[in-house]
Amino acid sequence: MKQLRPEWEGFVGGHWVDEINVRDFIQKNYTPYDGDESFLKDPTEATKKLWADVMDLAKKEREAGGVLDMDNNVVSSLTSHPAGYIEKDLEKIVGLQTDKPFKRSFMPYGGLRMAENALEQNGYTPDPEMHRIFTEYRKTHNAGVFDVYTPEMRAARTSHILTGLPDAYGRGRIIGDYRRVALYGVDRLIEDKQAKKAFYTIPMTEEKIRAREEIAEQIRALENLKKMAEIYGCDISKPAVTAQEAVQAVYFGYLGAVKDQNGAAMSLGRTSTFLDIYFERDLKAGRLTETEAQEIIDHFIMKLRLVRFARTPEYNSLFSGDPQWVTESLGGIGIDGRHMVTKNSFRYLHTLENLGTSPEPNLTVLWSPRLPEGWKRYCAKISINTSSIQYENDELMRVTHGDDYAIACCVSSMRVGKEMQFFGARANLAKCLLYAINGGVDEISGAQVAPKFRPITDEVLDYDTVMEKYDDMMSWLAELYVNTLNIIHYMHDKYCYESLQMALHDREVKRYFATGIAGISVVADSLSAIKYAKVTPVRQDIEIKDKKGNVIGVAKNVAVDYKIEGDFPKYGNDDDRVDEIAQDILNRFMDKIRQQTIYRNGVPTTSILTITSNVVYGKKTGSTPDGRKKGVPLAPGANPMHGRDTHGASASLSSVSKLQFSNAQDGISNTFSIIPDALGKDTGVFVGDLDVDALCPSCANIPNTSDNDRQ
Amino acid sequence: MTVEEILEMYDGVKEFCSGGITCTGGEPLMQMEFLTELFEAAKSRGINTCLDTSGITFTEANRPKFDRLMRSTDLVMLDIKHIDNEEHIKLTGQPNTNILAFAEYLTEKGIVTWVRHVTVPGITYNDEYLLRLGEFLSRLKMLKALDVLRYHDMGKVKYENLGLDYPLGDTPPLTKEEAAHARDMIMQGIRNGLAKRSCDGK
Repeated sequence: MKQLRPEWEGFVGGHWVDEINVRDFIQKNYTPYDGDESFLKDPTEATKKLWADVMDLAKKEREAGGVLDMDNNVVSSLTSHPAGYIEKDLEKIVGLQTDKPFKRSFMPYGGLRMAENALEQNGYTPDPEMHRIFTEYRKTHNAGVFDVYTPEMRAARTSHILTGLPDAYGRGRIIGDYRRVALYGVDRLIEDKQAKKAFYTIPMTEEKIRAREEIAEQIRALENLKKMAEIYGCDISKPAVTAQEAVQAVYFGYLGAVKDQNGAAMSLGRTSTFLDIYFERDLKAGRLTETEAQEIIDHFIMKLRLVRFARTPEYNSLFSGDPQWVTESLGGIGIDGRHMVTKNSFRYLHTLENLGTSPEPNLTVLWSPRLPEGWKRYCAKISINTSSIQYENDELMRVTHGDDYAIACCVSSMRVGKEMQFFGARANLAKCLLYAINGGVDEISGAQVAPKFRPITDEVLDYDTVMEKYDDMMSWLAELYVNTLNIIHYMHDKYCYESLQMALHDREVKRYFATGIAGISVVADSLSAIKYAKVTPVRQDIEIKDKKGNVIGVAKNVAVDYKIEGDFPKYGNDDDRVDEIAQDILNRFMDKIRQQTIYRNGVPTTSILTITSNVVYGKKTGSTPDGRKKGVPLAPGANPMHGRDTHGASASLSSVSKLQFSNAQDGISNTFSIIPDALGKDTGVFVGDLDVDALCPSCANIPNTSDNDRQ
Repeated sequence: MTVEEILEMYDGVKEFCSGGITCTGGEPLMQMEFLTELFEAAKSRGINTCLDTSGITFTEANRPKFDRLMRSTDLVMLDIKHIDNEEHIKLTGQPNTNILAFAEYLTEKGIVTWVRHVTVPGITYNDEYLLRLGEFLSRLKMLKALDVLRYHDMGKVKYENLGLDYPLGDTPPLTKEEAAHARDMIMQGIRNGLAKRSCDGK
């Protein structure tokens, strides 16, 4: 058998030795763990001290109104800052985005205005020199997009039929395979990229030129990643030898990404079982104790909790808070049938006990009924105690993505290092319905946003007429939407390319082209009302105003409200009469998306995921034929409208589950709160498995049998 | 609504719930015939059936009807509001005799029984009553679970919204610790009851 590199001593070889193939390494080397959490250790004194420092800083950050410190004249890059620490001597895992914890970096490549607004709105002054550089000498993604947008795209954006587009900020949703840094060392990754670059030879088409340029950028990013590690006194040019080095290398990979990109979601991937292989090797060799292993993971997770970006209040209101989506995917089942839970998976969850509860990193358990019992129980326990775990269905996603995928953001699944996503925000289908009724005139501004289709002038709305016009309007919207996104992703690739993250991908990458829809339940209920009740539009003239508020025209007879007589089936009650409308709308819209020409041969997907931004979308949407009034929030994601699901939880879930996953592969969300007691009995109070006879003191062989024994 | 419609709805959601069908109220026994029809149809399809009831309609006279219903009932969750008859009348306007008789009837019929007891500060949260309840329960061989339900005041807002007086006024919700204590008292009552009878027997 071939001799492995000295750093790989003790590992089982395989394809991964000769090619960049982390999955193969994991499959050949990981040790499934079937036990419980009893092996876990408490935090060390160093961990406690560091975490107290972090909590102190977090308090100061809150007191300062949400931001503690910001850069205004250093453009963030892998090598832009000297080393930063919480307490250097105590940290097992080092590296910060800037020179100080909680200091937010300046990242103008996505869009200068967003970066400057973030400074101003948090009380900092933009630097005039930076402004000059990024307007006169260096173009941004945002500037590129607006050079190309058509008037129609701008109007759709202004009216919010397309909202939250990543045209002024980093798109995110790309997960670099940060594990490669640990397993192969950066030098080997650079060699590999050089070989891949040589693949693109003459004739030099635009596509090949771009490929060669991008790989050159990737190689430069990898060189800079080594330099970044050197700033911290670390050498990551070679494979990691110890568990501590492996965790550090993975973290450096991730840190490079968050120094390079302020993306809407900067997820970590699926690292715990990979790293477990290193921990197992060290533990077996007696080089490491469990306490030390936990300390390394605690410090790693602590660093992930420190990730911060400069963002504006509007951005935060769209995403409800200041999320980074440092999502880490845990567990799941391998395609050979073995589960992928390791001791290190437990250590990750245990940080919620050692460091306390936290929304970040977003620890996501890939759930399967076949997961080992000890792990399931520990997950349940941590969920009960911390409410900080997200669960997703491995059974569903494994079919498409195999066993080395991870979640970007909250639900976007992708094979690590092999698939990426072009994030595409949302189209408002509720507003689209209103445009169908009003012939493309916006019901709030009166502006002609969509093409001047003939409006519906019927006194009472007729289902077939509305559906016909709605279908046309959806065709228009799907086309405009995809073309708008094509521009956005072209410009992001050009001016804000994720060179480091893409350096940690294969040469040929599958690109999911994500779209999203908002307002599906409003649309379903509106169409149901039109079909089963009597809906009469209330029409009015709307004054069209310019930006200054001067009246520049009048839109005649715009339906601005709806009178509804009679009852109608409502989505969320397991009633096929309306649930089928919701399914039909999704299927139609997705097919219309698929018909478009998509940038870089992206594979179109859609999501129904407006978990928080439904409030913002609702504000910009006029009254709808389901009886929802102007400005009222849309239901989040694929939820039934608030209060309309009157047949209990199962019926509500059933309606949502009828939406076809294959047509909304980027995720369908259903925000659902359940009081804990509804899910199970409180073991502190409930007495189950009672056996009255066995309680009888004189009947039992052992005197004073306690009921505690049988709880 | 027909039995067929209900079972069709069940089919639609059975993937979410492995348990079966629970009929709850109001008081499901107020619709005894329909309930019987539903449970019989459910049983014939292998669906587990559970009745959540106070048992208030049970009398010796209608025993045959109950006999028939119980043939297709897998589990009864029995709500005992108060063990003391006087207090039960004060609380609900009705005596508890039918209810207690129904509990014993269930054991006689061999129907698995869970007893649920809403514990309210100042009304049922009282060691004496809880012990007495336990002693009564010690006679129920089919008792398989005891569920102490904590009184909560989430209904108060609804009364206010409807402009009604809330009968329990400012009664505080029962804490988890108090609920655990109530559970312990009832369990103690069960042991006391068993001990007494085994001594009597000797």
